[in-house]
Formats: sequence, structure tokens, C-alpha cells
Amino acid sequence: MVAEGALRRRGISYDGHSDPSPRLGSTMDLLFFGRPGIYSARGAHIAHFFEEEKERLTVLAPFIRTGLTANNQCLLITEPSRFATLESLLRVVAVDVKSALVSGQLVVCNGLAQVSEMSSIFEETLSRARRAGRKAIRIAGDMTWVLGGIATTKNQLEWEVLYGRYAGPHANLSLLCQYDNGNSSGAAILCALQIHPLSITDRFIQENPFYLSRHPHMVLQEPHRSRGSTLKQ
Amino acid sequence: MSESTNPLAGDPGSEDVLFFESRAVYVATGAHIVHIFKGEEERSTVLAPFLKAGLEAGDQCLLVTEPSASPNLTDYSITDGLVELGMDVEGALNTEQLVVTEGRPKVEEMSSMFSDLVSKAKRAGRRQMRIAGDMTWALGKMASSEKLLEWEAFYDRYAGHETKFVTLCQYDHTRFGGSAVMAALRTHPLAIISCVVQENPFYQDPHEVLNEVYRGRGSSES
Repeated sequence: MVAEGALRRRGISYDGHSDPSPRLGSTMDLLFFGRPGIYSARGAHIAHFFEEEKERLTVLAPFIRTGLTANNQCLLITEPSRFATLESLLRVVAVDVKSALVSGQLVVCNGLAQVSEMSSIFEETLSRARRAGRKAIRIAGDMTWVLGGIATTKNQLEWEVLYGRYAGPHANLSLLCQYDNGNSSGAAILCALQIHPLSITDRFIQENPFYLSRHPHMVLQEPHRSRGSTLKQ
Repeated sequence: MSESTNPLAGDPGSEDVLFFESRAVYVATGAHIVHIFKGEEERSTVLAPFLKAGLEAGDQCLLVTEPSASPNLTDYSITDGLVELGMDVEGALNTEQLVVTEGRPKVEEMSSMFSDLVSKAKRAGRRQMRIAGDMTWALGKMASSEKLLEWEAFYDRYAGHETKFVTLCQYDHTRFGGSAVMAALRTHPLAIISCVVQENPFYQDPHEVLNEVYRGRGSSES
């Protein structure tokens, strides 16, 4: 078999105990991801693929907890019913969720079907962060609502274009998009793989080689831009 | 990853690499590749050259596909791609260099089928085996994505030991759910997406995957 050594699982164990050094992103501008040794660059756009609710929370809870502790502006896009478990988990680790909600440091909202409506939520989040003097913003999206509210992967891409407009290395804004494999179509998962430069599966966070372009709108224009050997003539 | 450093673009002079198709893309024998695609045209873009290269090289070729496709292969679009590439499909079917069959739901049945094929290839003096799986066959036969995960991990372990195999598993992402697509990525060391072939970082050791499947099954039964 070719490339035996390369077939081992790569990336950084999300357990975080094996390697304490930061690896992802520039050391100039790192965002603590919430687990020992796991950092990402500000502006990171990360897809988390999970099978079970506890996997979702394993990644989401430390992401939000660390953001609240570091005085980041946090936006969680999810159904209210799915927030309750996270809230309980955060309370267990002594995070004052109620105060964060009251002060507006943490905003929890339902996803809206129209990209323009979501755009206004993002603008409001940026304004809120500026007013409160918060330098970094964390946004976590439970993508179940997106996939339930839109009809095609083209619309999914349009949604990610919106993300791309706000994200970026200079925006101090990090995005975690969580995909429930069991509630997503194969097409949606493939689309997510092509528009997120970083991915988390199982316990591993790693660069995603199927990412097609730094800017999601490029995916629509250049569907075959990627690394590896092309089979196209 | 540039072509020059890509292990897939191997040394065509080596005995351990197999010509994949018309461009300078080679894979090692024993490779287990997943192709995630949309629609017949994209599938044929990869499948037809893969089989063509095998037929021209004198390899034993097997196509595992949906039941509806196997009884009358000459009507099936897969052969259209081969015919367009100038291949004598009927001749290959008659000599059994190309075998078309439907997938079977039980691991034992599939294993038995592969053993028969290996024997057939040996008798015909064929040195290499190319196996293409149109995975839509599994849609009606695998009860869940977990069963599919188990099958692919089992096969990956098998294929890893069988150095004369090269296997291409094709998943139309419009017909499979997200869990099935992720299962496919966990069980194939190489992946083709958007006609780009590359190492797949989501791949896991098949023993690890099988242990996980059996552990999950044990806990749900207890």
C-alpha cells in the first residue's frame, strides 16, 4: 500500500493531552479553542461533523466557555431547546451563563431562513462587541437549522458566503459550524467539506484537504480547484 | 500537494503501481479509493478510464452494482463510458475479464464472491484485480450507515492484505445520507472528490473502526 505512514490519522487529538503546543494558525494571532493545546487562528472557519449529541457538546461547550472567560462576544445559533443542555454543562464548570445572557455577551438565537436576515444578526453582533469593547467574536452554528431551512446546497453555499464576508484573519471572528451527520444529506456534508478550511471529526481537529477555496463564493465559480492530482483532462 | 510529491503520481516503472487512467495518475496495488460524486457523467469520468486501463492491462475487472444494472449490462450507462473510450465491452464480458454482479448484504457472501473471482483470475493468468463498487447497491441491502461502515472497514482490512487488488468505491452523494458519506471517508485511505484524487485524512485504521462498531453494538444489546 502506498504512503503507509500518511494513512495514520493526522491532526491534533481533541483530547489535547498528547501535544501541548499550539499548531493551527499563526502564533501571532491565536484563539484558544477550549481544550489544552488546541488553538486556531482568529478568523478560522471550522466544520465539526458529529454523530451524537454528546459529541456536539464536547466541542461546543469548551468553545463557548473559553470565549466567555476571555471576554469574547459569543453568538450561538441554535434552537432554544438544544441550548438547555449546553447551559447546564456550562454551569457545571462555573460559567455564569445567566449573567452572560443578561449582559449580552452571549446571544442565543434561532437561525433564520433568509441570508439577509442572518446578515442583520451578524451586524448586530459586531456592533454589540464594539460597544462592549470586546476584541474577539465567536460564533457557533448548529447547522441543523440551516439544512432544514434551505432547499439546496447552492443556498447552503450562499449562507457560507455570508459567513465568509464576516470571517477572515482580520475580523477577529471565529466560526464553528456543527453538522449532525445523521440529519444531513450526503450533498450537504460534501458541501461543508468543500467550504471549511478546518474540520473536526471524532476527536481530531485538522486542516481539511477537500476545502476548495478560501472564499466560499469561489466554490461556485471554481468547482475543481483543490490540491492533489486532478483526473480531469 | 503538488503532483510531484503526490504518492498517487507514482513511478510508472515500478511494479507496485497501477496506471489509474489517461493522465499521469497511478495508485499502488492494494489501494482502496472512495469517489464521492454527483450524477452519471461524473461517475463515468472516473469509472470508465479506471476499467479501461484495467482491461487494456489484462487485469481481472469486477463491477459490483445495483441489481437492476447487472442483468443487462449493455443497456447500462457504465458501458456507454467504456464504449466511448473504444473498449470492446461485450468481448470482455464474454471472456469474463469483466464481471458484473450485484452486491450482497452479508459479509460472508461478498467474501465468497471475491474468493471465486481471485480463483478465476488465477486460472486466467491475470496478475491484477480491479474492483469497482457502485455503492448504490448497498442502499437497499444495508440496513444502516453503521452496517455500511462495518462492511467498508471489513473490506479495507481485507484489501489491505490483498496486494493484487485495487478497489474503487463510488458514492453518489445525492443518494446517500451524511452518515454514510462520513462512513465512506473513514474507511478509504484515498479519496476522489471533484475529480481530484488525494490522501484522505479522515481515514481510520479498519481495526479501530470495527472495534468501535462492535463495542457500540455490544452496548446497545446489553
